[in-house]
Amino acid sequence: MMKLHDYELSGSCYKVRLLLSMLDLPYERLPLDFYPGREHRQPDFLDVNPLGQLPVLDDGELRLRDAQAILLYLAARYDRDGVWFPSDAATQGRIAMWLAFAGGELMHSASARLHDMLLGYEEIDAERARRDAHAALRVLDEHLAECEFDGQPWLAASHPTIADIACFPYVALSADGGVERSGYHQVNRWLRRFRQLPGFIVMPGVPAYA
Amino acid sequence: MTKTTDPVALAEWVVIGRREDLRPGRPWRTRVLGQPIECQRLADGALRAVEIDADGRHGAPLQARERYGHVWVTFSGNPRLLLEIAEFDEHPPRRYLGWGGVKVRTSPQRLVENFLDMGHFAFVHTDVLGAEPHTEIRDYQVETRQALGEVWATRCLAYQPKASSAAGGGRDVEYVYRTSGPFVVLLYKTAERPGTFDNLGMLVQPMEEDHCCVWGYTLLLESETADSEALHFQQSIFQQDRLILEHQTPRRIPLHDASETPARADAAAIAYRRWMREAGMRFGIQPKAAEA
Repeated sequence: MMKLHDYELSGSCYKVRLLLSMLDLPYERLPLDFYPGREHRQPDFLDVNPLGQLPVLDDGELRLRDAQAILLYLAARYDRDGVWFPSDAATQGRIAMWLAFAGGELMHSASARLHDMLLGYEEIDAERARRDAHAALRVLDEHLAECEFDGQPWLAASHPTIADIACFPYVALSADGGVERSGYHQVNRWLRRFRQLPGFIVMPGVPAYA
Repeated sequence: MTKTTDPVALAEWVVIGRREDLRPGRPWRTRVLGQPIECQRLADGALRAVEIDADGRHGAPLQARERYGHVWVTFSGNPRLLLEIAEFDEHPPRRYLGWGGVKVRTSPQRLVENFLDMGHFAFVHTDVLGAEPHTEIRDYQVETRQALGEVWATRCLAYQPKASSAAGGGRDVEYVYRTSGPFVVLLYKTAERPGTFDNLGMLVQPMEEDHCCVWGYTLLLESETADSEALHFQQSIFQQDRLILEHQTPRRIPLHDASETPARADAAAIAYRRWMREAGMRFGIQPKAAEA
């Protein structure tokens, strides 16, 4: 069975849990004491991932790190209908673009959250992280407005793809880091649509209602 | 803000970190009741804590001590007694888990009252600590132990779908809540083995009136679950609360007007508020309208 090196409060791990649930795939969780134990920085885990980051997925002999890479693999390997990562090149290009956004610009929201919530992240410039998170949300909001104009309610296609899954957690968790989201109407409508997807699950900080 | 002048708050022992957070050569800087402080572990293991003044220089000393896996400080030369938790002295010792600190933008009193509130279980901790239709709060007993500054709520009964990380299914649990002063609240909760109680405590570090760091511990009797599992269980529950707490307004509690109407289920919080009102507490409290 697949094994997920997991931390309950990690939005990045949540991305993987979301897709596993939506694909209805069984897996075993290996909970890591990320906080306060900092187990991800200990030698045992650095053997698993030298970057010291979660999540990591083990599937047989294959070991993958990085939430976006894991989403890509799971969709390509296990989604028989080919909807989460469709085969057409333009859609794949758009998905890759939003996967990079999820692992890049949107992580400013994750930084602000770490800083505001936990100890040991005082070196993060939270005000700057919040500013950058807002800039990312504006880009997302404008993109979703254009999508809607074109009759495409999802980030990269007319149906949800792994691009939506990759972007969902740190947008939905933004308030944890003091990034107020009420002004981003398209984003909030997209979050609500996302919550209606079959197989949707919650995590602490992301309630089922919105 | 600057250091509070509220004598009730200043008389408290306040947690500032876990025992292992303080290591020699690593000065621990934080804020307590509006005052920046620094605490150091000396080479001989002793603790030394001082206020940090506006220029960043060391100022007046504080008392510092270790207890219950945490480091506590007080500004007072004659502090209110630190509470006694008998479960820490048991032999064989229980399994101890420290939660680590989580920062929350609210007052210490909002945190304590949320901890005391069984009414939110079914709605915030759905399918874990509560579930519809089991939303009724049955009557329970409340007693204020004035000399100790403690409020005890006993015979609190609730149906819980997953009462602990070791729970196999739903069961009725009995809770005993115990507040000690304004910043500490303990919970005794029916353990997986009938007739026994797990003990856990939330230890609030008020950094400012409306900004806290929340520490805590769990003393477990069972040894089946991994520490990480039990810790994730606790952190998940608290994270669900954090979202709600940060959206409560005002952040300081209105102790002196009728803007929040308690129900019978809030008897423990009512006694906790009464204790603070009688003590004349100001820190973390909405000022009276005339003073606002």
